[in-house]
Amino acid sequence: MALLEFKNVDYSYPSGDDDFVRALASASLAVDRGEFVALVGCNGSGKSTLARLANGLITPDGGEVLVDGKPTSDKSALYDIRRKIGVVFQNPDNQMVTTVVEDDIAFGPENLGLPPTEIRERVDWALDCVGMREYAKSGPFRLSGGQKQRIAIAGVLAIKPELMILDEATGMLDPEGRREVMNVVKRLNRDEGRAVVMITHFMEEAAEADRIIILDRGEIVADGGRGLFKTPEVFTRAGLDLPLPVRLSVALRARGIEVGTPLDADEFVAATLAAISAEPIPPQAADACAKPENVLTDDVPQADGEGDAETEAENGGEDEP
Amino acid sequence: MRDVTIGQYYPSNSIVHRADPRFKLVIMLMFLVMVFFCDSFFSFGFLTFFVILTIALSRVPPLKVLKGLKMIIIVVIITTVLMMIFYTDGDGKPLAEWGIFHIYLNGIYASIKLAWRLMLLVLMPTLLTLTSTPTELCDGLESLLSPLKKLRFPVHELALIMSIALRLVPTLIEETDKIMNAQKARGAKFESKNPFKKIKAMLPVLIPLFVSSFRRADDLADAMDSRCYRGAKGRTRMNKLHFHVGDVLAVLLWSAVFVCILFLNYNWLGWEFIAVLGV
Amino acid sequence: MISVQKLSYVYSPKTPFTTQALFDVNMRIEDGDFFGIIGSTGAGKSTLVSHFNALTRVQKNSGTVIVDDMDLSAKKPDLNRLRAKVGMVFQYPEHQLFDDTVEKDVRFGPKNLGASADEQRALAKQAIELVGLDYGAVAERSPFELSGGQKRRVALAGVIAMKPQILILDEPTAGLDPVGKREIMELIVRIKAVCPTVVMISHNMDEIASYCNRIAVMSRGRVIGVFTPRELFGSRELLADCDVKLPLVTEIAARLCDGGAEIAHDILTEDELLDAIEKAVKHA
Repeated sequence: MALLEFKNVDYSYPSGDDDFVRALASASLAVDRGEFVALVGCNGSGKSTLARLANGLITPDGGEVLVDGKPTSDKSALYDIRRKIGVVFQNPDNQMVTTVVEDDIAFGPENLGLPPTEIRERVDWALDCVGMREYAKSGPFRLSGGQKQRIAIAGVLAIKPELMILDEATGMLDPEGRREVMNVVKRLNRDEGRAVVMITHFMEEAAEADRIIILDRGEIVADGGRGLFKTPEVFTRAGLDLPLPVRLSVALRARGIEVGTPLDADEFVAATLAAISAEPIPPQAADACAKPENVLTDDVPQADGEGDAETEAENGGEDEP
Repeated sequence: MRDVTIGQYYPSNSIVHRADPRFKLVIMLMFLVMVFFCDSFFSFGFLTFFVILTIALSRVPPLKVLKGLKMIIIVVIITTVLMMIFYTDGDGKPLAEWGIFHIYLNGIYASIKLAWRLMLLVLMPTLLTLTSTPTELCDGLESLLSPLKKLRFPVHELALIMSIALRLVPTLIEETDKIMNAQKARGAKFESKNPFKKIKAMLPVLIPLFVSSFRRADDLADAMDSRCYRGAKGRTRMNKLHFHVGDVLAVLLWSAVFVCILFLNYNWLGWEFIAVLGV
Repeated sequence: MISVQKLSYVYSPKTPFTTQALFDVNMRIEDGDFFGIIGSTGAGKSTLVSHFNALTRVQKNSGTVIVDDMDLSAKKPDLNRLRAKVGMVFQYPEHQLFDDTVEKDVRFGPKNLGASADEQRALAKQAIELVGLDYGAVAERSPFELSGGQKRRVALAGVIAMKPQILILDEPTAGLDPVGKREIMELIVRIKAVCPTVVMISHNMDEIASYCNRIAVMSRGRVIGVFTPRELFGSRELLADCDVKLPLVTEIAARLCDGGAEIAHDILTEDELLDAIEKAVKHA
């Protein structure tokens, strides 16, 4: 059973008097334990709606959202759902409940009704995970944006959710802060084995994930591994940029120079140097996109089975009943 | 916000910091009552000695505590001067007079005592906020008020609201500053004598401020929900309040100070040295 | 022209909390410049630019700021004239929108400067069209109903409507998606045709490298130097001294250069890099 599953989810929010804006249209996806997924799309593509649906802050108009098989529409299951799915939001200033860092991180575990000693352990552990132990007693006002977001991550982490959703958590940060947060997130996924859904429009961040889901005007238009970057059109059609190395490789291909599809600067430099010295493309750049891809055609909603098969193929997961 | 001392915790590990916030709040209440009972220089001096002692024990730099006075120093000066020039003493002879203003010796005494009293009234609460985090104070208050829960009084919610307010007020002040600057850059003028016009001039600041406050409130509610908040039900605390012998001793000490002050002022036993000291 | 000489600034002077935000800053911004200011958070960038339209006043004996013919360290500079001349767009400017229609909000600036009702309307219309919005479609709508990118344009229009000759932008693309970022930068280039001098604070080295003709690097309240993009991004010693990260394009070019390719290390745009790589490949 997938940890988080969207089944043909529709959602509209009211706008103006009698108007409704469609934020999500029959969206289906599944995220499993341990995955690192980037969810990308322009502003207004429905990314944040998806995050809020995932932990039951809002419930779908049609279809259903399941967390470990439990629907978010079941009010009595909400508490369990939120223990499993933590969300870090965009604005670093609007997530802290108290004036002292460690008290704020304790807020979640306190809500779980844990004994004081365990809360203490979790707070210290969460602070260590985000590298902010030395700031345990400080207030939020002397912290940078990146540090505040790391505190927000620690606050969610202390609940020990199985999946963390970062809803444009780097959107308001400077490059330094973005790097700090990205490093923390990658470490959490790698060392702590926590599943991460990174909602972002920074493509350099998306290129670091194992799987990429593209949202365009409320629809999931692509869902696949890093091989997606081989078909740059799906990104540009959704109004997204490509990461610079990919953009350069596409432009070079148009000029008759083949450097594969490198995803980061290292790969690009290696492949380009090889092209210049007329050697074969080094294997790591060529392999970066060797994984299977799954680009969905325009308006056809994703079939459930297909999506699941895709996800499980990537994870070498269990069989579906 | 940099100038408001209240809400600015000064981290340290002194015994004053470690004391149980409930006991600190009780002592604070006693202290405030005491200040109003003080009437003689000797009793003021006596009480001030203990205030200084507490400040010393707290290991907060005295300058930080005194900074709390900055906000009220103008009030202190104005009231003292008014007290001095308008004080009338039926029996005494004025030391100086100009028209309707008289200065009596007792008037000078009275105004010094007034200033002293006002300063004491600010110093201790400042120290309290420097040595206890707002969370501790809220917890303390919540715990002290908890008997009211029986009457279905929403004690927990109240404490949480206070804590959030303390958290957000500085943010909002900063934001007001930013919006005011943005509107000033568009040529807005906020200084006007006419109060009606003044309110109208403030609209370009107030409306964006409201809009952003609502947005913040929504965001915060989402963040709290996402972190499994369900109200007071089933909630535990990381720092459970527990008092130590020291806390009890402190309350006893301050109670003794209180009794001493009552004696100094009312001189119930008719001791002569008190009568001499009790100007 | 903005000329800054020996400018210092101290927050909460004469208290235990004194912090010096600017130390002896000297710089000159010429008419027609697209002037970039970079530096890490807390380097003093915002404090510096807020002097340019007297939102922050020059402190006593702390240097001078001169904008064209106006000395802002004078006791009473003509604030109305100054604010008409120097437009300031803060971070997330959409947070300052307040009126019930877009048109009224944009008129706020000209109105404060004492323009007549007809002038206000004309200026608002011009400004709204200049920022790429359809006047007929948005003028009577509430600014709060618009999308994030549109709100930012309205806020920009609110400053443009004052017809500034110098425009100061603090992180104009913060929080926008890639398309939004590009649109705002293109818009700023369009605005520069009517407002010849632009000063931009940014953390985005790609934007700085591709748009600015001169760049001031700030660190801990000091201006380390003012450079052309090629001087700055082409010199590793300088970058290391200034603690500036390269734009990704330049970084890739530099690493290709290190790897033995015949590619200049001070490349600033994608097209330059593509041309260089193509040439190198053909050459080989």
